[in-house]
Amino acid sequence: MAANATTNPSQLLPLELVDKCIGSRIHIVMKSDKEIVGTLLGFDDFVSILLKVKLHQKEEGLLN
Amino acid sequence: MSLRKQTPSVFLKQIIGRPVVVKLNSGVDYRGVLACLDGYMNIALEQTEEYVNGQLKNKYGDAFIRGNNVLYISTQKRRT
Repeated sequence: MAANATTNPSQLLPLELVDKCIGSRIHIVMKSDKEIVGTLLGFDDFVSILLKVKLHQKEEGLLN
Repeated sequence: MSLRKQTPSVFLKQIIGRPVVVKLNSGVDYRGVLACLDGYMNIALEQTEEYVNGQLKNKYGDAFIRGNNVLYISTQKRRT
C-alpha cells in the first residue's frame, strides 16, 4: 500500500452539494419505488424539499 | 410562481388559503383549502375530498391530518 502524497481535496458537505443544485432539475429517489423529477427551489435543515413540478394530465397518475 | 430560492417554510406560509393537494405516505390523497399548518406539517383542511387510488372516496367539511403521515403538500392549479 503506497502512501498517498496528495493532500486531502477540499471537503464538499452533502448539504453544500444540495445547495449547488438549487435552480437545477433534480431527481428525488424515494425509499419506495417512486421517483419525483422537478426543479429544486429550496430546502431546509431537515432536508424538506421545495420542488417545482410540471404535471401534464397524463403524468398526474404517476404520482399516485 | 417565479423561480427563486425559497425555503419550504416560506412556501408553507404563502399557500395558506389556497386549494392544495396533500399526499400521505400511504398514497391517499386529500384535496381541499389549506386552513392552517404548523412546523410538524400537521394540517387543517376545509372542504376536503379524499382520493384513494385516484377515486373520490369521502368528503369532509373540515379535516385534521397528523403531520408524520404527510409525504407532500402541493398547490393545485385547478379544482377537480
